[in-house]
Amino acid sequence: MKQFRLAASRFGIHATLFVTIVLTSVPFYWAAQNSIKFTRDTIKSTPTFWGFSVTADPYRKFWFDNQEQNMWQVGLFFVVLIASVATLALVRKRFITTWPFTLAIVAAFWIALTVFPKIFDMNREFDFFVNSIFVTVFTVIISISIGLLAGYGLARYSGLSGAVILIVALGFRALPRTAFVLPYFFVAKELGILDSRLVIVLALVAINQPFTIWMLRSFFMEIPREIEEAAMMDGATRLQAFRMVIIPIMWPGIIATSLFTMLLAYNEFLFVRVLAVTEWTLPVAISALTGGDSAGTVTEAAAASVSITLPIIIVILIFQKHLVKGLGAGAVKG
Amino acid sequence: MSTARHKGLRLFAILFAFALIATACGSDGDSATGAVAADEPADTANESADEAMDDEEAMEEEAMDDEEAMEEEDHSDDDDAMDDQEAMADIISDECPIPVPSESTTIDLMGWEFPVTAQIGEELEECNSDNLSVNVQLLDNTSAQDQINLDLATGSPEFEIIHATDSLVGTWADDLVDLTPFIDKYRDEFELDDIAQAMWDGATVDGKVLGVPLFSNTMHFFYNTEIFDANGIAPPDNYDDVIAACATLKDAGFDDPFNINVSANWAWEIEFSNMLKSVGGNVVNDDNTPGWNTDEGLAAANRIVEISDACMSDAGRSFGIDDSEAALRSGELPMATIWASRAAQMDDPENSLVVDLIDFLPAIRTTGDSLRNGPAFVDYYAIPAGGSVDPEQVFLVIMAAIDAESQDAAAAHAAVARLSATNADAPRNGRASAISVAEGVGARIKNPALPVAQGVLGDALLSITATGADPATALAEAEAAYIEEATAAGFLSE
Amino acid sequence: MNRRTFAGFTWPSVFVMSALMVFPLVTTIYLSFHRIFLRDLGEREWIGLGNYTDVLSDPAFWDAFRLTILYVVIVVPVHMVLGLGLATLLDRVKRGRGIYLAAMLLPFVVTPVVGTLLVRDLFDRGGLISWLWDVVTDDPFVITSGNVKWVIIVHGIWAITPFAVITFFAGLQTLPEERVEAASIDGAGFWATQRFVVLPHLRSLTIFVLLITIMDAYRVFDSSFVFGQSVGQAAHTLQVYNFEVALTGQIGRVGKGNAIAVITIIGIFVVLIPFLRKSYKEQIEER
Repeated sequence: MKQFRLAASRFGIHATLFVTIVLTSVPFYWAAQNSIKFTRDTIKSTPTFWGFSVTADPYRKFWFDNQEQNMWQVGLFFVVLIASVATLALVRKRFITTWPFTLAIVAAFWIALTVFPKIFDMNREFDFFVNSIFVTVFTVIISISIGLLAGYGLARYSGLSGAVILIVALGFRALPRTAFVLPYFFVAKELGILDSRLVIVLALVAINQPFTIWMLRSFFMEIPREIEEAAMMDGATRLQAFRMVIIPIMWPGIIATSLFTMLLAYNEFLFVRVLAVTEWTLPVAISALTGGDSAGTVTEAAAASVSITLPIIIVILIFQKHLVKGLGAGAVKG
Repeated sequence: MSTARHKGLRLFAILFAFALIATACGSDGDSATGAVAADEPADTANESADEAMDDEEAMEEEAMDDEEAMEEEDHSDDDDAMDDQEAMADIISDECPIPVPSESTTIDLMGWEFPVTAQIGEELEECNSDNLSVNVQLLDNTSAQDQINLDLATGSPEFEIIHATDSLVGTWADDLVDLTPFIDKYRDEFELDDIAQAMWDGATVDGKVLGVPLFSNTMHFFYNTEIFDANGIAPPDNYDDVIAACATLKDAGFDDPFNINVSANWAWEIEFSNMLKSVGGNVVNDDNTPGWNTDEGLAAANRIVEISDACMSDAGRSFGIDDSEAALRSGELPMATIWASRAAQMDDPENSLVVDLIDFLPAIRTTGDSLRNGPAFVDYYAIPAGGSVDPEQVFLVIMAAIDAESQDAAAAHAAVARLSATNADAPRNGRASAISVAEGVGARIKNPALPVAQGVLGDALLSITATGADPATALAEAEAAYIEEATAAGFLSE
Repeated sequence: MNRRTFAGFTWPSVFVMSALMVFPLVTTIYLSFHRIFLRDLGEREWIGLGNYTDVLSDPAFWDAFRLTILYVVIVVPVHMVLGLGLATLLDRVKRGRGIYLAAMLLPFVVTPVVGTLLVRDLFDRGGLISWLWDVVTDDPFVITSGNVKWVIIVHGIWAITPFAVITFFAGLQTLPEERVEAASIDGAGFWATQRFVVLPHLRSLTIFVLLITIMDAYRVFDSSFVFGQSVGQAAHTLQVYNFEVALTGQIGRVGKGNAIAVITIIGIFVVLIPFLRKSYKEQIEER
């Protein structure tokens, strides 16, 4: 009897979880199936679930300049890219010195990004995609660099000013973006850096600092002081101990925090909308498709949604464990 | 400690500094090649030093390639220009018949997107060449207008060309370049008399022409011939006819026989404004006082409520223009008043299920003898004053965008400015459009206080159908709110 | 660590935060006491509390305020309960955990603007939920100014629950099994175990989630903005109302917009101060 109850409850749990993930992913599935239809199959008030002709036109319209672009060629490009990266990753695992292969993987993506627009005629959306990547990568690099130092200091220092900084930072995290956006706009205008990726990166780094230092600090708190104290007793300075001993241990925490920063930078809408007059990122580009004549662009907007979300999903899938760990650790001490 | 680690930190610091510099440099140019790859570094320890070195190298390479690539990109756009260079002409290309600029020029355009503007945008981008780069940015209606307003407000605009409605021209008249001298200079070369004087007048403030007409738009009546024939309905001329037709169609099973757009505040305001003008009133008077809290205003509001009650269900009342267009194209909506520019899609088999079944009539009259509810909206390209590019150069680029060949292409989507423009694929509603404008309520006034009025009026009107407010009360409250806002903004004296 | 080293480590971050957050904030507060318009930024005129009385007597402000409070009051508790429940279920399964987690993360990582569009498409004419609603109630579902707040709330719950799920899940992972087993040996049933063993363990995590999500829900912008594009003012929360007043239209009222921002800040701090004080005390104790 107990076996049956156990099995039934097990089934119940899985069923509930399954229903949940259906609910969370239904919107994506819906957009995906809208993105391969002709517009005429999306305009009835009763949706067309099957029996519609499939087309890659929405993706073609969104990304490419050439409306005759053969999408199979594009597909081939991606297959080659993924195959090369996978091969490099596999080879990397087998060698002890791994840095040449990491460099090779990074180089492969960079080459792909530069070569792609030379082979295929791209729309401005590709430039926006590049902007998105640029803004995201540099926001993460700068934000984490600064935050790492501050987080370590705040974790090891026991004076009052540390507590003050932490609490004030927490307060800043609560402030609405509308309190900042106009001053940023006008200062940027005065300095002549409006409509550049620099101003977006700066704004995002600033907004993100409180969260970053809190999260990195809580990761640092998990590392016992004895570790760097031992190194310092061997004659290292605090800074040397920091980078030679602590940082290597901190990598999981760094990755977790980087993921959150990356999410914030990639998904930013308000700042880009106001501060980037022509250098848009993808979330703003999609808003061009949602007003105005959107009856004609439902499918294109769906294709855009899928295209914008796919890179994030891939990155998250790869680093999923880190994200979970990050939230757990970041919260426990917070 | 090992020197390798030492190097690691130093290189990390260099990497950081480089990141800052590269970010700053990344602000010039829109090259698609100036990016660092997106991958996160590997998650094994002990690699920070080595990777820092590698990333720095990669970024140096990328910065150099950046420059090379930008040169390459510009050359590839050169093909058209090469032919003309032999002929010793100065013009850029056949598609872009204007002189090559003497120095490298970038032109940024901001506008909102629908098929005709997208087409004109393409025509503009044909001017991309050695010394000239045109960036066409099309957003949705609201966002684009936000960007334009924000840009003009700063006094040193980033955009060289803006897409403007006639009311936008009126509001920002002091901040736009006077185009009259250029129009006179290039009148013959670009055949500017081919565009009706009335359109030029629509962008004229204090005798200065501030915009170049691109196309006009109006609202008129679309209906499904199949449904009309099946139910024996005759083409309506005024709203009494429409209401009668609604009754017939409701009996035949349609919950939403007809649609006008009352789903949002700005939409309600447009319908109301048309009706008010058609019975002789005006939204804002010349002296900025509000003109809607009158008998005519109440009559207009009540008429719209009457139509809404007779012809629309709650679903219909929430239809935006796009929803009603989609409903027409799917064959579920028998008739509607929507924008003329939406006609082209009705016959596209990829987009429509009612190919050749939709027919067009001029805008419906409010009552038997009033004007037609057809506004005359003309869209312009205007040039913000205080920009960094010589206005004459910008004007020439606009001329390239509206030359005969470009307007012919755009005529497939809308009623373009040039009278001589023709296109075999032109939508079938040309005649209905023209009559709607000729017998309609005309262009919007260019009073700078109009946006204030539109805001408060739209909100009040929306509450009539959205929450059942009483029309007379709503109009009176809107008047009070307008007086307060306009006074605060300085349009009315205290 | 001595003070000098501490300063050395933290000065870049503090500098960035002071320059890029303190300074704009001060400017915003300063300008909120002036009459200043977007179309003519050179001119400003001191009017003291004029903007504030304007805002507090503006019905649009109170509508936006009510919508924001409704959003916070519903989304925060609901998503925490759901999050805890789902985390508990996840904790009990061994197989497929990775897939469930990954799928549940999707709403959290998608760009909020895109997520809103996806959800809106489901409720719009021709969408899946609109159609299901029609099938069940024989009345097509339309997003109107009356029901848009519920759609926004549904989107909010959809988008934020994953955050609670993975936070609580991570927390549950650190709960030692022996304690749960000891409780059941002592005769405690499921709910008693939750109350006396699990929840106390998750206490600091719960407060963390509560704090972060209240902050974020209060400042919701993207979803309200997107819905506002089609429905208008009924979908506006405080931040969107602020944006509309200050930046849109040809008469952007920057002074009034800044006053709204300040009022919003005061509002969030009313809720936040107890948390901040508690946090501060904890920090002091730890030293």
